[in-house]
Order: sequence, then structure tokens, then C-alpha cells
Amino acid sequence: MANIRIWGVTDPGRQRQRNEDAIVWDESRGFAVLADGVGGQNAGDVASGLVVSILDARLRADPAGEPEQHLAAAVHEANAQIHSRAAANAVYAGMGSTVVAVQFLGRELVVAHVGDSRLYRWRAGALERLTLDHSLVQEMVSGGFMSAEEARASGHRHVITRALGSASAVDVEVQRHDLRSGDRLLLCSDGLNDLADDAEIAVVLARGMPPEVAALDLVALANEKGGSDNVSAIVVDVL
Amino acid sequence: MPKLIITREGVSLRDYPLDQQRTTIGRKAGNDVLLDDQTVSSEHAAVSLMGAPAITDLDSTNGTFVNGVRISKQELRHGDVIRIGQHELKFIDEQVQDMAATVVFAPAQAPARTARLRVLAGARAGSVLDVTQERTTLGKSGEVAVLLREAGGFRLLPMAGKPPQVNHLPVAVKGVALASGDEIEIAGSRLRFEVE
Repeated sequence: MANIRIWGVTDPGRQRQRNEDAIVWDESRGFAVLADGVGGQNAGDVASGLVVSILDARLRADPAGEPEQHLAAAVHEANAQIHSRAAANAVYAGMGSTVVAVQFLGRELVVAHVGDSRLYRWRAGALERLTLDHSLVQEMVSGGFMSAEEARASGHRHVITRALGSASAVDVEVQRHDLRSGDRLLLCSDGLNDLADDAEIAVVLARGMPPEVAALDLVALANEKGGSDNVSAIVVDVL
Repeated sequence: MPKLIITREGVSLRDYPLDQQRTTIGRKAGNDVLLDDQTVSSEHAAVSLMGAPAITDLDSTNGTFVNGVRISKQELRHGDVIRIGQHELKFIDEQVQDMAATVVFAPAQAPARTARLRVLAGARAGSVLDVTQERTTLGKSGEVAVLLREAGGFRLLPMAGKPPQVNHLPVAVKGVALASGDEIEIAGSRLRFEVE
């Protein structure tokens, strides 16, 4: 596996009392997971907490079979667990979570995502979004019906079209990308990219501070801009 | 309309729509929400919708709790959990949606009935489109809406530009539920929504 450094920060933001985001990572095993829970009182934390604990346990084990399948299976398991708990307990009814999870293997990474939590890659001075949100406005942008600017301003920008837990089965998007020395990856919840645009995120990543500092700076950036939602950032440096 | 989802020890009992300015909760007959629970006072608490939604404890013996904190009076927000005795009442207010909150669009399973859009005027007038997808985009860049298949039927949601009209009335941002026979005007076309 490529030599990597990872650090993440999660913060309730300025306006929420609870933090329904959850993160976990492991440098030696080479994975990072970020989940953004939805579903009102208590339940959002329960859903995102289930995602990170299930993926943490699954990704610690040696991958069985193809890495894409291994990662997708872990996400499917999280979906099943959230869905069955939501069905069994009225307090948890309607809970769900997004997820973005990356696993590093050799000079490659595998990423799985559901919902609007994102993976960005900073490479050779340019920021690129590697995941497309599963959201109503992204569908409009992809179909050519809306500009990216209209999507950012839309009152429906928080409507996601896929979430873990909302049905017994979920469509998990899995991709594989190469890794290069000097690559810097960012996993984030919408509490960051809703308030800071890609150019503002790029400025922080470009400073070249270690992941511990960059992740804190990104969370601070969202909070300076109002901190209207929970905000999480995991920064991964490929050495 | 806001409502209370009433549960006891995790078991869902019923939903109570808050259709009055003031709703009383207690053990004795005469309360709007009657809780059969010895740990509930005869007149325990009241939910008011005058101004901001709020709950007031009516000097109950065992107290009223919102999100685990004992209160005498407390404003209610969407998703708050009120505990009274062994009952929990979840306050649901979909009107007051937190603009930063993520909403999951959960599509309905296979549609019970076939829905169609008949183009009455505009480009492709005379054609009929079966609505088979969870989401169907209508209009064009600059004036676009999406038709969502939901559990209860279909909803037309304006996405960008000038909102569409349904039966000659502009559609609000939160969208409108469609009934068979409704006429939609969008981007120079007029369509009739039909359900078998």
C-alpha cells in the first residue's frame, strides 16, 4: 500500500446542538469513512454511527475477493442494519445516512458513496470532484437542465436521491482510481461544500499544511461562513 | 399540518394531527390527546401553535421532558421528542423545514397505477408520455421542474427558472401534489396529467 497520512475532524457547526456526522479512519489499514446522518432527533446519529462502526469492522478484515466488492458489501451491510433498526423501532423510523468511504490498495484507491458526501482529489495544483452527489440538483446538472450555480442556490439542494437505510436495498456507486505521490484527497460532508465552494476548498488544500491542520482549517472555513450544518473533513496525503 | 407521533416503549401507537391552536395532553377524559398511563397527570401538558410551536407543562407530577431535559415551557422544533410518563411524542412539522437539513427523497415502490402526460400544446403536441420513472424531468434548461413518484402519488417540484403552473396557478417552491386531470404549463408546453 502507498504510504499515506490521514486526519479527520468533525464538528457540530455553529447552529446545531447535535453532530449527526460520524468519521473513522485507519492509516495502517488504509481506509477512511465519513457518514452524514439524517432523520431528526437521535436517529441521525444512530444511522451515521452504525455506518462508521460497521465499515470500520469490515475494512479492518483482509479484503475477500475484489476490492470493489469488498467495500460495496460493507456498505450494503450498513444499509441493511440501518433499515432493519428503523423498521423495528418507531423512534428510529425514517433514519438514514450518506456515506463516502475510501480504501487504499497498492497504488490505487477504491471509493464507494451513497448520497451527497463527497470525495475530492487535489492533484498537480487542481481540485477535482471524484464523486457525483446522488441528489436532485446533481441530476438536473448532469442532464443539462441546471447550471452548477443554479444548483448551489437551489432550495432543493439538500434533497438526496439515495441514502443508506431508506430501503432494504441500495444502489452503491463504486469507483477505482490511481494514486500518485503528492495526491491529496478530501472526504467531506455537505456542511463544508454547501458553504464553501470548490475554489475556497482548493485554497485551503493548496497551503500544503499537514492533514491535521488542513482538516481543522476546512472545518473552521465552514464555521466562519455560518456553520449552518454539521461539518466533517478527512484529509489524506499520499506520500 | 404539524403532528405528534405517539409511541410507548418504542411501539408506535398513533399519529395525532395538531389541527387546533392549543392541544392538551393528559390521562383524564376531556384532553385532546389521551394517554392511558398512571404516570401521566390528569391534565399534564399543552402544545400551543400560537406564534412559534411550544409545549407547556401544566404543573404535572412527573414532569414533561423535551429531548431528555425537564421543561416548564419549551419551543418545539421539527424532530423534537417529548416524553410524558412512559409515552414519547415526536413533534413533526414538515412546514418548518430547516433549510440546511438533508432530505431523503424516498421513491415509492412500483407504481400502483399508470400515470401519463398528454401533451396538449407546444412541441410534440398530441404525444403521450408514460411516467415510468421515479423522477421525470419536464421543461428545458432555464425553466425546469421534476415530477416525483412518491408513496402517496405524484408531486411536481419546480427546480429552476420560472415555476410551472398547475391549473393556471404558479407552483410554490415546495411543489404540488398532482391529481388526475391537472394541467401543467411549463416552458411553452401544456400537458395533462392522467392516472388510470
